[in-house]
Amino acid sequence: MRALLSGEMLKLIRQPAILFWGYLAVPFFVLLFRLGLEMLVFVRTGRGMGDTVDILSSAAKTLSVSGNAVGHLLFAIGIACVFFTEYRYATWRHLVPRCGRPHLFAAKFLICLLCLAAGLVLIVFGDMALNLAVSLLSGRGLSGVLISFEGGRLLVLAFAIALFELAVLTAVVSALTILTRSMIAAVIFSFVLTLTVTLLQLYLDLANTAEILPLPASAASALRDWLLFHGNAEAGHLGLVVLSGWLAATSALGLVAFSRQQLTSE
Amino acid sequence: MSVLMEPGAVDAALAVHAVEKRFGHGASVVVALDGLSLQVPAGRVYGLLGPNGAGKSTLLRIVAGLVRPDRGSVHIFGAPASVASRQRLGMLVEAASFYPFLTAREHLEMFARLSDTCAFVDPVLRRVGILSAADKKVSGFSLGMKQQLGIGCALIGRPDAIVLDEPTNGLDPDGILEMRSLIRELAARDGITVLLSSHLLDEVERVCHRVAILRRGQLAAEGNVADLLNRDGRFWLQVEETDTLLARLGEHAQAGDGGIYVRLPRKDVPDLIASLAASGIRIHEAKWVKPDLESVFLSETRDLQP
Repeated sequence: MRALLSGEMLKLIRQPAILFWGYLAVPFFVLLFRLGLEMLVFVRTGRGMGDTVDILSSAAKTLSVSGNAVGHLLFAIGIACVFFTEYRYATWRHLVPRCGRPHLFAAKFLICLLCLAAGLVLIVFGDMALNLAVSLLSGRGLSGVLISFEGGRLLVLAFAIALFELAVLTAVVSALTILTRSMIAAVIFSFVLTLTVTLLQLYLDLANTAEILPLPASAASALRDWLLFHGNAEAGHLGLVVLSGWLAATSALGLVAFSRQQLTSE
Repeated sequence: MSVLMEPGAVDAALAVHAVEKRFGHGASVVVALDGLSLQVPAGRVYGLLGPNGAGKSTLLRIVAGLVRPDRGSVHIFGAPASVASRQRLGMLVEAASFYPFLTAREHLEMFARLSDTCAFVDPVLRRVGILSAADKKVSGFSLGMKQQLGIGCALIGRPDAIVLDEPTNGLDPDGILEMRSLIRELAARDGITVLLSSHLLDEVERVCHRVAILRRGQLAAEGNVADLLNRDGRFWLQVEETDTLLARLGEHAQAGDGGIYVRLPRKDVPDLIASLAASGIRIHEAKWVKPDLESVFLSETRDLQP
């Protein structure tokens, strides 16, 4: 498995455009957006956004970007590329005779999760670095930031929820890429799925109810509300179940589809 | 022609037994392999011939595990085809295709890590003749260099048998000679079994010890190359009384090249000559004419077509 993982990592490193747009663009743009916001407030008011910032808690809130539709679009591109590369270049013929298909699927799935986790870590460190820099530049020194146990707990929970949500996205996109042998189909479908949830939540005003849509983005949002913002526990539980169901169903679908796929031509 | 054999015979590097594969459903079904059985003996170069659509690529994809057969079995060195038994195979299936953003060395290193044979990357690059281009991206490779890298990828796992699909495609004449020499060397020096699928009849005739000819998913002919060529030989003779002799030999003879071609077993030739001489027919020239593999191929793949 280590050999397969290093091979997958090599392929990603040698495709820097995919590595950036698929996995690093979200952390980069999140940092850029926060920086822009801080600068706007500073220019308008002559001071920073807050008096004292819990940098762990702030980073935890920033991790909510894992449920963003545009974020999903970019992450989906990165995930789909990892799987689609073998169809695009007809290179399954090198890998399938050498390794079991479940191992190949698992290696690609794991490398996507590793890169997504690295992206989330970058978001966390980017947010913490920005808060620290703002505090230092505004003349407050280190007194402008604080680190709390509660912030740490929130950060761990937020990271776990974000990774869980992105694992579901990985399962959905990988299954679709394998089934359709197309990157575009997988990316568009997963983007529309997340966008639909966002629009439906707005129209149905689900934010203050225990109801959730049986879709990953809605479930992750309910889970996040429950664990991070003391939201409805019932909806949170349901969200956990829905996300687990999606992860199990779509990863099994992808694995079974790939295991039985006729590679008459990639 | 049908060949009965035990699945996974011990001395066979590769044994295919009663393999069937159909694509599509209903009226549009295409029978790619129709109960095909054949054995590739270990340590030899085995040729696989057949017109387009005969089932060669489907067979190789089944051996590689890319396609699942509907029925039948494949054994590799006596063991049922699986990820473990395929570790003993090196494969170049159809056109050589690679990651254009990786170098030749990176390709081989990546595959070598899967078989724990990283020490053989440079020797393999040297052996297939692309050591000087090892650190160039494959996107800049010519078709011939890609074929060479394809062979390298097949060899990097130090296999006991390799399957090569059209390995000389895209090679220049020198490259073709080198490739043929490499294939012969793999079998003769390293004892590696080579299953060679090719459209080039001349190539198969020169390189292979044994050959199978596929037609519409079935085995049309199979045997040693020399036996196949002898089997379809004809006796040609030039005599003074051509018409008389043609009438006498009937359907076994036909005029051609200024003489008469007689289709008969080679062992019967001395008797025929003695009989003609005894009956007073004057023979000016006589010779046994061996067919080339092309004639055998055409007779096996065209005669029975509707």
